[in-house]
Amino acid sequence: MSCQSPYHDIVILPTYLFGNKPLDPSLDAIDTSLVIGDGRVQHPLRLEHSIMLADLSEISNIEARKALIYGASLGSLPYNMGLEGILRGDQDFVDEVGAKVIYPWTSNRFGVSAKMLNQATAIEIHISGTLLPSFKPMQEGGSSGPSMHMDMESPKDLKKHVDMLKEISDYNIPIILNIGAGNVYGDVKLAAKAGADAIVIDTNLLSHPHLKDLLGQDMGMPVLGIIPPALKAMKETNAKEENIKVLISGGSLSGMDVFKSLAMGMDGVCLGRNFLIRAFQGQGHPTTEEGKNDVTVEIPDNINWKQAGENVAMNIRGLTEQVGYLFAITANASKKTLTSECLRATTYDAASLTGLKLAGYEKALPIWMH
Amino acid sequence: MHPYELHARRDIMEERLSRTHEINKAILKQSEISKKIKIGGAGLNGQDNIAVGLTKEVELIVEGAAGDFFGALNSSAVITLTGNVARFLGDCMSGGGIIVNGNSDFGTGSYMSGGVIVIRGNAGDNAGQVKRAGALIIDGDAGVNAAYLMVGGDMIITGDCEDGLGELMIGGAVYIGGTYSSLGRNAKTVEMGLSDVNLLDTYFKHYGISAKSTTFRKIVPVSSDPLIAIKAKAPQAKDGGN
Repeated sequence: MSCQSPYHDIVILPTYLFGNKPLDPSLDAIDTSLVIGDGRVQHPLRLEHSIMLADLSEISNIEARKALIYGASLGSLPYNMGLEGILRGDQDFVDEVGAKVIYPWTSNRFGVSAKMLNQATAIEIHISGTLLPSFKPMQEGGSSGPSMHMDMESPKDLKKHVDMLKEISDYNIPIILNIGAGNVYGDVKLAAKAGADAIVIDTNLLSHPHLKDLLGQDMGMPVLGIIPPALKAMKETNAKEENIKVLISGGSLSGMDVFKSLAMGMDGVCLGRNFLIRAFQGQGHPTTEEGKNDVTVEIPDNINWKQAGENVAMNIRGLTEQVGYLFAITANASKKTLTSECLRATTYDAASLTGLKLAGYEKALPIWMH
Repeated sequence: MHPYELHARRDIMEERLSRTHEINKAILKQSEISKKIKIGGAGLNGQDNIAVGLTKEVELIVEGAAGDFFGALNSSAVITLTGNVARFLGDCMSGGGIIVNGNSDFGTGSYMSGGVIVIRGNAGDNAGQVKRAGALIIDGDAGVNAAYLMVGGDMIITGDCEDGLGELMIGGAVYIGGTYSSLGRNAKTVEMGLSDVNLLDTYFKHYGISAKSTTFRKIVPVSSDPLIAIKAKAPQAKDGGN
């Protein structure tokens, strides 16, 4: 199934005469990296191109999971284990290919141990996930357990969890908070105060098939509406001064999408199912497509994990190459100079949601002038 | 925060430490050279996250009152606390043991997957919630929703329990010596067998608990299927005691 990029109504403006001259990626050094936990932990997580993999633990196909692990290790990205990854024994294959891992701290806690957490490159606390008040339904070969963290009575307890995980890891590795894209402004403010090293805003609210059927698609903040409230919350909590990073997870199909997120102010982007499942199919450099916006992208049958993993790595490299070129074309040697000035919204809706300048009008809409 | 002194069996250390990270670092450092560690002196004064993630087989004695998440993710150590403890004692514990010579608060033994916790006092609400394995022994009373969403292991309450005992449990067993205000959804009482009596006797003898195992009652889930459990109605009858 094809899927449309949520950034479809935003265009990138290359630099010609106005501003600095474009860079040459083959000659000029371009730094698109992101470091999570720099100055906060002993072993920060360095992401060369400000991208990492989202938690795709609901993918049950074993070959697909192996492909992800293998592709992540080839693409020099940590693999996001997810709850199901622990249950399905991904660890053995992770060890086999020597991949780095981000371990989850979910409401379920299956298989969690201090030893396991200390083997991780980072720990990700999941505050997203399903919405059922009690059990997640049993899945074939999957798990059941509470949907809420039963040891968090209030948002204040989130900081205690962050502190506990920092103690267990002896402040060695970053702690990441993954929150669903609900009340983004309110949630990011609370998350920033909890003291994690990075906040991931997850657009994939309805990963569970049962909930998709039950609740439909009208759940959660749309991708374009996430960034402004998140940045506002980060600003009001002085998160930037404390070197807390914010990333968006899901929605990105290509390097262009990643670039747009970064230009709008995100520190990094997590690549989710839409990107990776296309990558399994070896579709080369992924591009945005017109079509039905459907999150139920299907995994092809008969995946060869090695081939698919190499496809994943190839697509990651292609994406990062795109990002590098876009930095160069817009005359940005690093994210320090990158702003939303190189973007334009091509529809009124996109301009309303994002606060970007509207193409033609060449100003942000009056509702953003305050 | 009060300063305290940290002593090892052979190497006496006098360190004035008060913050959580300092205390935990000192415990880890001592565990490298000694199997017996004591936090004495003025002891703890409610600090959170003490003795978390211990993976070594050490015996740790802690004086004072601990805050939240005391002994969380313990896998090997045997920890004794002389005072009360706050919420989420032994959270995600997978082995070893924790003995509290006082009361515990909300969520005692949450997410336990092994080991033993003994409370020589009363436990707060939601004791043993989402417990998967291991034993939680409360030599006193428990609050509401004891064994909430419990998946496995044993829970023993020598005293009384408030409403919702065994609420939505889908595995394991609760043994109660006193009365309970009401059973939770998907919980039922069953006859105690000889193996149950022997199990309780073993625990009572090992931990020096004065209780008569034959007077206990056993609570188990009606169904081990969570989809059925969440649709269950709470038992109507209130408990009238033994």
